Amino acid sequence: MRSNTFKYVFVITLIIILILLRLCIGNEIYSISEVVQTLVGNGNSQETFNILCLRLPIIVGAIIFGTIISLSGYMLQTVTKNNLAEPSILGVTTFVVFSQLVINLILNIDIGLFLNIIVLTLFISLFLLIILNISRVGNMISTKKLILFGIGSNLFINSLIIFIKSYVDQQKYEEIVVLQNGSLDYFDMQYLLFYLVVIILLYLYLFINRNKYKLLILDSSALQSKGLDYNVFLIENILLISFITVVSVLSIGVIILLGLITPQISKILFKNSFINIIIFSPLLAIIILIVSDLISKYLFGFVVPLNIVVSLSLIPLYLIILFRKEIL
Amino acid sequence: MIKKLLLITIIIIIISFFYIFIGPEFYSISELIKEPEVQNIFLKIRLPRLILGILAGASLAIAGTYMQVITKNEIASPSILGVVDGATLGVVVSFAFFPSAQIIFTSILSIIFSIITTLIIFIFTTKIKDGLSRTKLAIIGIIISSYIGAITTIVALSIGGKLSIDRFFLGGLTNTSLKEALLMLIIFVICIIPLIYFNKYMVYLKLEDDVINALGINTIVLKTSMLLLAVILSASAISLIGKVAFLGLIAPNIAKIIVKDKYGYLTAISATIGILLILIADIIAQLINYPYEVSLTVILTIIGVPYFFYLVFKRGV
Repeated sequence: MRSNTFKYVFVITLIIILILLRLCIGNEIYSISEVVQTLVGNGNSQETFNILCLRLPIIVGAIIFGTIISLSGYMLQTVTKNNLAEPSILGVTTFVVFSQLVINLILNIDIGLFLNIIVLTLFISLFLLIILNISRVGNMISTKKLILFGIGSNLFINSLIIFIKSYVDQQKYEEIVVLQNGSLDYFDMQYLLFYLVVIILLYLYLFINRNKYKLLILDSSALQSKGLDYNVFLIENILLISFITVVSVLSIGVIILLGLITPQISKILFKNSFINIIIFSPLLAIIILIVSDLISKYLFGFVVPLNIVVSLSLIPLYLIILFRKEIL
Repeated sequence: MIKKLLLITIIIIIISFFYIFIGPEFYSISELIKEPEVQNIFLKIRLPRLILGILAGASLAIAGTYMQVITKNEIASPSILGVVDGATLGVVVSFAFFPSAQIIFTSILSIIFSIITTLIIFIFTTKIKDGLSRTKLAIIGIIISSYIGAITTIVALSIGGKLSIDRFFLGGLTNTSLKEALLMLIIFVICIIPLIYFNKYMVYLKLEDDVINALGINTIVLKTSMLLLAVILSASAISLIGKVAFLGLIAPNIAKIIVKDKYGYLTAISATIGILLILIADIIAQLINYPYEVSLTVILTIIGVPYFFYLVFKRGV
């Protein structure tokens, strides 16, 4: 128990330091006292604009979407009983970009944000169900099939996106690039309440169903005897995962591997303790997002897409997980 | 088998004839004969494009064939073994740090980066059991290639969005110069001579290494030499036509269906299939959004991924 407390204290302290650092660093660097003064309403107009309007939304975005992405990854891994299932690896996030491109940019239909999310959620759920069905060998989902299908669909859908890109105008082209590259800069604070409600409901769902998730280590006949209909629970989760993935991609674009790595590290640290994993994974994701955002903007002297920085940091961890767990 | 080879060659000749007449402007045969300006366009633009297309298509297909035979893996190809992304990094590094370098220097740099990437992938495959099996090699190859791809993006961004790099990422035969076609021809000839010599060993490579060694053939030397030549051939092609994927995967697999057990013809048939594929894909790329060109990679990926799925799922993972 003491070691768990230490892990939380360490990670939360790190997050607080990173938040302060992120508020201080930007095109103009401010001291911590200037940041604190601005946060309590005593900053000048330039400081207020830079810290509250530009930097604070990035941090809020990292907290919200770090939570959403890591939970979507953990839910998919648990419900498919597969350590490598994650929306970006399976080509789901790329498919969101493609569907968005087709619905809003090519067909030129403005159906409003919420209807857009609902339509895309249905598309993505269908796509996920097809992937899982194709990768099924008997009652189990084959990890190798799942990964190879994900690799293939990512390549295929990306090619279709490149193909369609050549037909759209400059403004639409840039909208697609933003979605593909991922960025916390486009997080819109006007939907903050919506995002908070989504996160609260998500945690509520996870908490209410915690015993069902724990039962998923059993095979389907054993689950049936415990009164859990696996297929219904799977579809319920797929709808939910699709919904939060759509919300995340439409808000900050594609961020790869984050939903895979953070639950895996949490599983190693907390030995499959459900509650600890759903709390700790988002904290790790928030750290990775804030650090990656800083690196992407200020390390190279030019802006590197957030997605590239995240993948550069997480691909080695992905390989370690593949080897360590002998998944291959 | 010779008849099949001849038939495919005739098809290539017919397609090549139509190929050189396709471009932003259509010219008739009489215009080609009479007008020096049109002749100039054919000699300086369309003919080099055709030559480079043929050589690059053959090179990628031959490289894919050798890679598949050496690793006994149907999915092995220049993209899976990291050659495509390694070569791309080489080109981008050349653009970034040696902007006035000659094209031959860029090709050499691509070859070096490709060899390093392939080596890294092979090292990883030795760390796991059955690392060269179909799926494991594919997964490791693609993960490491993605990593190299991410590094390439950063290097490319460091020099801003240069048109030449964007063109390279999309892959294609647009703006091919005679110099590039000649360079590819030289590298092709240098690599193909030893590869023709090695062709007689293709049949043996189906056997286990111990059995081949017992026949007095040093498998390590043989496989390393073949792989090195295959990497050089494919990396050179990539450095000249851009990031073209899937050709080296599809062509050898189609060739295997045609040659069945006559392994001696595998390389030749594979090369002709590679040429056919690249020419057809390039014609589609030029015509689908006429007069603008679509990326050759996009066309090959759209054709290649369903075939990749077929190999993985229908023929067993």
